[in-house]
Amino acid sequence: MKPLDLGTARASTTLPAALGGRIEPAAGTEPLLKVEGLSLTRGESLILDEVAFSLRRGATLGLLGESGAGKSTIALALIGLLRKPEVGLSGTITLDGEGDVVDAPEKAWLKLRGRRVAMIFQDASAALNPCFTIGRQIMTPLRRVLGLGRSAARVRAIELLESVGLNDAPSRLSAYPHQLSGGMQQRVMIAIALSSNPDLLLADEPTSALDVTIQAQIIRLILEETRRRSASCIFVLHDLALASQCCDDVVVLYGGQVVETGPSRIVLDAPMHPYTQALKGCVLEFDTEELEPLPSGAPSFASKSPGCRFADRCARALDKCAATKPPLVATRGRKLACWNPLP
Amino acid sequence: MLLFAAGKILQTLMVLLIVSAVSFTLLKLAPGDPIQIMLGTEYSPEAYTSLMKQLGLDRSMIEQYLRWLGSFVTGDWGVSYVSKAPIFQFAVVEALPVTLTLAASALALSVLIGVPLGVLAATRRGSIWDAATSVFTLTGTSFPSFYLGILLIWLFGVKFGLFPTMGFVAPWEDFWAGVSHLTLPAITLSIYFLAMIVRMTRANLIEVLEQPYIAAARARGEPNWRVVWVHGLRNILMPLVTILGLQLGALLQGAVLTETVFSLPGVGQMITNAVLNREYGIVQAGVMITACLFITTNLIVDLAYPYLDPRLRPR
Amino acid sequence: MVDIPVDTRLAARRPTRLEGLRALARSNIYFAIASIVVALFILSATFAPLVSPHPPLDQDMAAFMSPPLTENHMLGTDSFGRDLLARTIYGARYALAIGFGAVLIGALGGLIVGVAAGLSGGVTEWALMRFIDALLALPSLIMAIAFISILGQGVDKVILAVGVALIGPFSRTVRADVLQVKAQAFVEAAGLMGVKRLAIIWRHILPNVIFPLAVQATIRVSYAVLVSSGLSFLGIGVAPPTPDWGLMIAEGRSFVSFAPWIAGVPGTALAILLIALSIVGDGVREHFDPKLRKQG
Repeated sequence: MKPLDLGTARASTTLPAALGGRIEPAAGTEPLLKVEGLSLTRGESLILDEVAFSLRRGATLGLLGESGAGKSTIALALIGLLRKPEVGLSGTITLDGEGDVVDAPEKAWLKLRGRRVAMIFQDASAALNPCFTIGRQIMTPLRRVLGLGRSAARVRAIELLESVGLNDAPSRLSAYPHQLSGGMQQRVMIAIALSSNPDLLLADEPTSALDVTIQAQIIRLILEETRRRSASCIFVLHDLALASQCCDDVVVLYGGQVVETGPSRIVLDAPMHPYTQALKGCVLEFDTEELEPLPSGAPSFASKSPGCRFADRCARALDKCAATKPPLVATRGRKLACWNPLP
Repeated sequence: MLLFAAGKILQTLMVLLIVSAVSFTLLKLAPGDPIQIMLGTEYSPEAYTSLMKQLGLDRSMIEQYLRWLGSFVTGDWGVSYVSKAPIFQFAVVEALPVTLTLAASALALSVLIGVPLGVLAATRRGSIWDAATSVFTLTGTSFPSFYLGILLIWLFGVKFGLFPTMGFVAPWEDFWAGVSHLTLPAITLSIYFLAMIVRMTRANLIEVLEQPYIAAARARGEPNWRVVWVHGLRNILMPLVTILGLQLGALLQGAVLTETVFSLPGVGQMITNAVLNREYGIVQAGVMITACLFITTNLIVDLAYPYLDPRLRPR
Repeated sequence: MVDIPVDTRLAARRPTRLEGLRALARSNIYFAIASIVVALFILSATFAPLVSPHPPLDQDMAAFMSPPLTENHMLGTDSFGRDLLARTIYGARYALAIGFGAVLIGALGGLIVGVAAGLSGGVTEWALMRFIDALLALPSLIMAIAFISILGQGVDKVILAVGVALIGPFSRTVRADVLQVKAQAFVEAAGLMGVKRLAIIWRHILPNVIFPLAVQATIRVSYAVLVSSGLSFLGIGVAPPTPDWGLMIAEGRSFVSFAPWIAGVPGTALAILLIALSIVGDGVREHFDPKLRKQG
């Protein structure tokens, strides 16, 4: 397996062999997930500002942006973990067959989480309970969600662990998380997330805590397993090169606003929003996770500026950028929110 | 694992040895000549030297210490000057069970009530419950237990006449009488611990509930009660047990005061009376018993760590 | 004695500390109230002869065990006809003097043992550590009782006994601080530059250890007051007829069925002082201990 060389990877339409080819959109065109006008206010600050996107069944979507752009917040909202303490979540999240779930009661979410929507967390070593064995953590959802008996759950758990490439699966069941390497921990997380065949898999920076050499393996595993189950997948990423290789569509977020969205080969090959361009520039020129070349600091939520959030850091900003929020309109195969886009 | 345990046990024995040496030195520093006290009116220089030889007090300090240690380990703790009874008999056989019963019931009470209260406060942060809990932990950890005991006597013993206010009845002899005699002392002793456990449970649980594995458990569709009571509590067991071990000293010294408030014939009352009667041998016995209890408990806590937190187990 | 000049030097170098406490008092209403309560106790203890309505040992033959709100005795009298308010005010003197005195002894002893354990290496350090372990193996009250059994009763003896009993916990924290400072680069650099060992201790180690020690001391005052009043309550601390709260509570215990105020007045005073002291201590610690600041 050839490791993915992220340092030089260009946003391109051709996919390295390591990922086993791009996943073509599934036959169905009706969306599995539709997010509209999703906003979240916490105190004075607006964390999410009218976020909207949709996801087809079997497709892969990437949420892109700097840390603090609201990517992980969206993921948490999609699995119903941003509800009670965080008042001020508005908009709709329509999950196929369930209707709008944004205001669904905890009881309804208990039937969705882990069954229809599952999540893989950023740092598997922190997302696995250190006090329980791998076996217990993978078998509990099997028994509680799928209602399997003890021995059936055990057999299924071993199958799952083997399917995510864990060798010596039976003996891994009695191991504790800290006894596994980071890559193996993430494989276990994937196995747990896939255990109940969810329709939608959320992967929140699934490889950022891992060694570069394992990143491609893990991404490939997630893509293969979701494709096998014809499930949809949402990747939360800050790495555009990775996104261009594993996502059908991308949503670029800045300060809780969608700035550009569309098919990844269109958006990432020829960005029209200055922010997407800058993000791409970072990957290519500096190969860092931070956006150092951008002027001034991280996006501030304190000011509820009426205009584009990126205006004060944008080299192409016009007077009206700070005053009026640009609408998200279809332009050249994508949707774009910018008053002064790149040609 | 075995090596770890052996090392811990060895270290514990070492500390006990030092405690015994210190307390032996203490005994030697005590004013008053034990031989004169023992001889009383039968004092004569000949009798003095012969008794001195007989007791081995003419030998070197180290030799005396080793002899004392030998007899201490074999349960020969000498005889009380006042009651003429063997010290081991009434210290370990009679007084210790009283203290242990009191301490154990106070501990049980505070864990059984404290953990749920702490969970309630942690899961409903900022609520009226949480505010009430924080006022309670503040007062509970600093309220003088002996005064609380007197307040309880006044309220439940005198005003309502619900519980006896003095004396000890062994629960294994007469269960209900034992329980009713233990109720007020156990509440008195438990308040500090209860407040401590509530505070620790709340603080640690709040921290644990912010961990990614809690969100991950929720994301797997585990219901809220399982997330808190299974995933959450399992992870605060270790700090909770640690604090219990460290605070055992507070429990023991609280027991001394509580025993005096409620006239319970335990180790605390034994030591207090011994100080008043200038019976250094009994003070020393009390010191050794307390130290043994404290050190053994902390040894057990240390040895329990790998079971409480799998990350501490060897790979 | 020793820590006062060092303290002012620290305060001069970092004026923000006092300001910080003032900000803490403004932001934390409990801390502000508790500080005022403690200040009131200290003031009334200092000016007891002026504040107190009667001398503490005067017996009013006309009023034995009179309940609170009797004429001339606002909080009642005890079984000897002594005014409870007067005795409680004078009792604050003993409580505070013993508390602060014992903490001073404990902190000084802990400083010496802790610095010695932290700086020495090899066998000496090992022996000192085991000695500290042994000190910590006994609860302070039990250890104080053991010392009292040798020293005998009296205010000075209680201060000494409780102070010595506090050495263990103090020395453990001092040692930890010393180890932390020792590992820092500037100490190592001073050592490499050939600065004398004592000079290093005086110039670098002590100033960095004294401040956390002072914070520790603030926290432990309430504990020292609790232990010393416990000793008096057991009847082996301060001897009667001294107006010590622990002693007064013990005296009142026998009359609880028909004159609960005899224990109630000094007991409430003790409880209020202890709670106020621990709020102040907690506030100071949370404010100055960077390790604690993160936690809620």
